[in-house]
Order: sequence, then C-alpha cells, then structure tokens
Amino acid sequence: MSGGSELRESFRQSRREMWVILAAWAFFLLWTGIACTILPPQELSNGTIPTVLGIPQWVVFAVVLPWIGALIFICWFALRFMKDTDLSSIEPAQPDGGESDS
Amino acid sequence: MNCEIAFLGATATASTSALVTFVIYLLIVFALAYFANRAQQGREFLSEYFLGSRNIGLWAFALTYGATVASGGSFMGFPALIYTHGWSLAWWICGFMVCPLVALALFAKRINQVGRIAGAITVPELLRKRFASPAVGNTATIILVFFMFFYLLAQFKAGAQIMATLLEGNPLFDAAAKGFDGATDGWVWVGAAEGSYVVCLVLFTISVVVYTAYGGFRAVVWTDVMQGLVMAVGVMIMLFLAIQQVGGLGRATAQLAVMTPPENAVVELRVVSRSEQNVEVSKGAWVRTKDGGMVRLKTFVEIPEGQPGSQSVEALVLTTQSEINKLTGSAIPGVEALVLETESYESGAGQPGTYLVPPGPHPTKTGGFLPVFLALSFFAFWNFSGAGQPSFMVRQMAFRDSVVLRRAIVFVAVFFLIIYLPLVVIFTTARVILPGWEIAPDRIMPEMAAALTQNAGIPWLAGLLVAAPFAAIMSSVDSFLLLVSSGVVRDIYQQNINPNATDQQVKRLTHWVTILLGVAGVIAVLNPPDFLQTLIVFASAGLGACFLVPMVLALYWPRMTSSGAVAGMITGGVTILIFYLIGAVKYGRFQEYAPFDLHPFIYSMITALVAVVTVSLRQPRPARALVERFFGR
Repeated sequence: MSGGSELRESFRQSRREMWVILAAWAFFLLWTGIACTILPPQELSNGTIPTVLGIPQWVVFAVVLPWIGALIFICWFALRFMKDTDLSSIEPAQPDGGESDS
Repeated sequence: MNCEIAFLGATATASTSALVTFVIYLLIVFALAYFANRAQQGREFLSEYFLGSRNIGLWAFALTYGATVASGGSFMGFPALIYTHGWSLAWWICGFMVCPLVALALFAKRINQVGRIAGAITVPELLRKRFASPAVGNTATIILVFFMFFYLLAQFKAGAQIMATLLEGNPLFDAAAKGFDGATDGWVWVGAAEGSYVVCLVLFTISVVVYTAYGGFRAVVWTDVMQGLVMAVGVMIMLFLAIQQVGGLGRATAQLAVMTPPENAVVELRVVSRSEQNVEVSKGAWVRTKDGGMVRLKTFVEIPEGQPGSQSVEALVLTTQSEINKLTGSAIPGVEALVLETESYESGAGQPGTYLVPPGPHPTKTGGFLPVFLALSFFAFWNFSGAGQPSFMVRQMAFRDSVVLRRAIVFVAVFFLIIYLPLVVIFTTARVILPGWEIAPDRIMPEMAAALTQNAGIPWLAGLLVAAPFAAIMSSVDSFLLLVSSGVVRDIYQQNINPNATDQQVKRLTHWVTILLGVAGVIAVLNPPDFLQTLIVFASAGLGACFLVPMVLALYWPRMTSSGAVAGMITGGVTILIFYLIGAVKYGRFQEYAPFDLHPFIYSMITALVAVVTVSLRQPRPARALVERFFGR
C-alpha cells in the first residue's frame, strides 16, 4: 500500500463492511429468536409435534431455513460486496510516536 | 476369588482394525509435521514458526480456521448436551450460521492490515504496537496465558477420553494403567487419578506437543487441513449410518417424542442366586428391577459372597416404557435392583415431547436447559466470543491476501453448516440407539461411533470416526500451545527480557516452553472437572470478554488510547471472573451466574465497552503520527 490516502479509504471500506455485518447478525438473531420463541409452544399445544423430513417443524423454520438464508447472504457479502485490499505489498512502518500529551 | 459381571461399552469391544486406522491417522499427522519443519529451513524463525510467513492460502486458511473453531467442545461436549437435552440444541448452536461473518469478516482484513503495518507476529504484540505501549502488550499476554490454560485443560481431558475408548481392552494398555495405579497409590493428587485415563492423557500430550513443537504454525495449519477434512467426512458418514440404523429420521423423532427424562436413584443390588464368590458389577451395567423396570449403574460395585448379597449404589432409572422393553435383554443375569429413592428432573420430568422443543429437560434447572434469553445470549456468544479469541485473530494475521479471505468466508460457512446441523441430528438419534448414557454423557461421541460401525459390520471405520473428534481436539490444542508459547517467548522474553535474542535462542526457548506447557497441562488435568463444555465456555467467554471490544475498537476507532485498551481488557476479564465466582458460591459448583438468563459474556462486553470509551475520552488524543500510521491520512 503506497500512501496514507489508500489506507484511509481501505479503513473506511472496512468500516462500511462492519456495519453491514452487524446488521446481518441482528437480522438473523431476530429471525431465529422470534421463530424459536413462538413456534415450539404452538406446536406442542397441538399434541403432536409436526415434522418436515423427520425434523421437528420449528427447527426447519427457525433454524434450518435461516441457516440456508445466512449462507446465501454470506456468499453475496464475501464474493460481491466485500472489496479487496492490497495487503501483500504492505511493509512494516517505522514505529514513531506514542500517545500525545497535548 | 471374584466373579466379574462385566459391562462393556460399545467401544470397549472396538476392533484392532479401528486402532490401526487411528494409528495411521496419527502417523500422517507426524509426517506433516516433518515436512512442515523442512519447509521452515532458510526462513526467519519467528515469523515462519508462529505465523507461516503470512502466506497462508485458501484451503489452509479456511480449514485451519474451521478446524480450530470446531474444538473438542464441538465433538465431545456438544454431543453430550444434544444427547441430554434434545432438539433445543439446534437453537443453542444456530449462532454459527453467521459466525463466518462476525468472527471472520468483521475484522480479518483490518487485523491483517494492521498486523502487517505493525510487523506484529502475536496478538499482544499487535496491540502493543497499535498503541505504542508495552503496558497494553503485557496486560494482553498475561490475560491470554491465564484463560488459554483453562481452554487447554478441557481439550487435554477430551483427547485423553477419546484415546481411552480406543485403547480399552488392549493388554499392553491395561497393564500400563494397572502399573500406574499401583505405583501412585496414596500419592497426593496423582494417586486419585484413574490409571487408564492418565496413560491416555500422557500419550495424547506427547503426540500433540511433539508435532507442534517440531513443525510450528505451518505444521499446525497443514494438520488442521487434514483434520478439517476428517471431521467433515466423519460427520457425514455418521449421519448416514445413524439415520439408516434408526430406521429413518421420522422414526427417530417419533420415538423421541414419547421419551421422558430418566430419574437419578439409589438402588439396592441383590444377587438372586446363590454365589460362592464376590460378584463385581461394572459401571454402566443394566440391571432389571423387581417391578420390571431397568436401571443403569453409575459406579462399579462389588457384592460380597454369601446368599443373598446386597449393596447400595447410585443408578439411572429409565422412565420410558419403549426403552425399557428394548433393553430387557441387556440386563445382567442373576442380579436384581430394588429402587430405594429417586430424584426426578427439575424440568421435563414425565413430559413426553420434552426432547423435541425448547427449553428442553434439565436435571437441576426449573426453567429447563434453554430459556429464551439464554438462547439469545448464546447467539451473541458464539459469534462475538469467537471473534474475540486470540487463536482466531492470529490466523487472521496469516492469510496471504484479501481474495483468500473472501473465499475462505464462504468456505467456512459451508463447513459449519455441514458439521453442526448434522451433529444435532446424529445425537438426537443417539438417544434412541444408545439409551442411558446420561451416566457419562461426554462419552457419547466415541460410543456412538463404535456402535454405528459395529452394527454396520465395518468396525475399522470406528477408527476414522473417532479420529474426527480427536482431530478437532488436536487442531485446537496445537493452536493454543502455539499461542501460549508465542506469548511467553515473543511477548515476555523477547520484548521484556532479551530483545537481542538470536534465532537459535528463541527457537530453543520456544520448544522448551511448548514442552513445559504440555507437562503442566497433564499435571493440572489429572483430576478434571466433569463437564468439558463448562470449562470451554468459561475460557472462551474470558478471552472474548478481554479481547473482543478492545480489539474491535483498536482497529476501527482512532481516538482509542492505550489506557482505554488496558481498562477494557481488565474490566472484561474481571466481569467474567466475578460472575463465575458468584455462580460458584450460589450453586456450589463451577458454573456461571446468569442474571435474567443472559450469559455473563454479554455483561462483560458492555462493561468492557464502557471502560474503553470512558477512559479513552478522559485522556488526551493519541499522537497524530500513530493514528496516521494505522488509519491513513
């Protein structure tokens, strides 16, 4: 990486990616959290637990489907949204300066 | 003269061919270490030994990451929890769906970039150089070594347990175990340890220490690649065999739906026919009760000769009629049990369906295994505590370029999907195939592997299946050994004691530290705690609490100061320790205190964040040159 401006831009891009990651985490937390809280008691109250391919239905809708959704999102994020940064040309900078007293 | 009525776990009859398969696997690991050592020749020792010269490619980076995450906990503790609490574990573990994003993509690019700018080889060194402060580096090193040691202990125990399942019944092994028991009888600490366990512990430690010390980071990465593949293949084979042998997943779920949790009990054993000799009944034996029920013994018991002999013993009482019917033929002949007292599960007792839905049954918690808030906090825990693990951070400093990173994120996402969801399926079916393993839940993985392969008529495959969790444990232990030794050598010795140490001196010290860590680990874990997962969660939470918030802010917040970093690390760690201390006092055992069912890790992240921000803002801004060096102009 040749200059400070490139480093600055790379830092900003990484920060943008960070916010997208945190938003995705919150989305899947809500999906699984809400579905796992609501579905199992409903299913249990019916007497028998419905299944899909032998898996309890709540697991399919609250865990398996979001997991597949997360995989698709991750593919988009890593292969399309995330930007490359030239890492291999970075040389260790000379340490200069600690914390300011001013 | 004694007459032993022996109960053998499925693995106790594991064939020699399984052992041979396993030995071949170990030989490949050593061969990889040898080639890794050869590859080190001519390169600078420290950067190569601890970081693979920052040149790790896609397969190596993705699989070393995935294999290290999937530690002994994933293959020993996690199956034990699934077996004990049922399908709720699908919710408990599902945070892993976004783990590659949060734990890898969140700051891998930045940490690699900052690590290269700083020329840092270890995580404490990166923090020290980011803030130009030795105090930050030293604090990070002390915390890292402290919590990592607990992590190592849990992995050592798991490794020894798996090895024991393969060696059990081998005459040489039995002789060694008996020899150890005889030689150490009466010794403090050492004498209390079981001979068979200690022999396995020593064998496991020697193998992992040797290849780690010899091959360094590159050997660890290469073996991780193989171990990651073994895990994935092993899980897939087990999934197929389990579903096939249980008669389809639908049938397994239907049987699980009628199951109710067993009861813990004290029973009196009686020899129903005249006996001229002592009768020994092994731990794990099934005994019929007078009223037609079935109990499983939790401990070995010896009934003195005489007619009729009797003895009281702790046992597990089955409460599901279909299980009782299935096991009637397994009861040992000539012995009968009388149930004296029973203790039901606090949650789920007598409730069919409890194994299918959250919160799942629990022997001591009235709210069940997984109340809502605890489940939500685990979704945060797996991701953010994973992101905060120094063993993962150091890998993020080692990949070659960002293309490798982007592809590895996808690769790891697929890896987690094909490991964790199948494990839930496999070990819910294990409840149907192998009832009664609540007496030793941590053994369910190797027992299941052996049972499935024996039923399928391919016992040699047990070696490969057992190699999967063993691979997981080895790949974690080697990483942690390397991490702790790098902390001691690079961050303590080279930075504080002898900055001008030669490559040769550093190399020699590194090898000695790795060996000493192995020895200390063996001594400390001779009499380990019962639940692996508790120890692993404690160490993960501690490391995550100390490193996550300070590291994220160090990478993304230019205003952060060195005092803020130190305050964040200490506050996070102390918060975790306090919550575990309260838990120990409150519950009388090693367990976290979780107010509102939220894991202490959540509280520690909040306190660490407050500490970093408050302390940093109360101090002068960092030097402009330092900020420009890591954030640009």
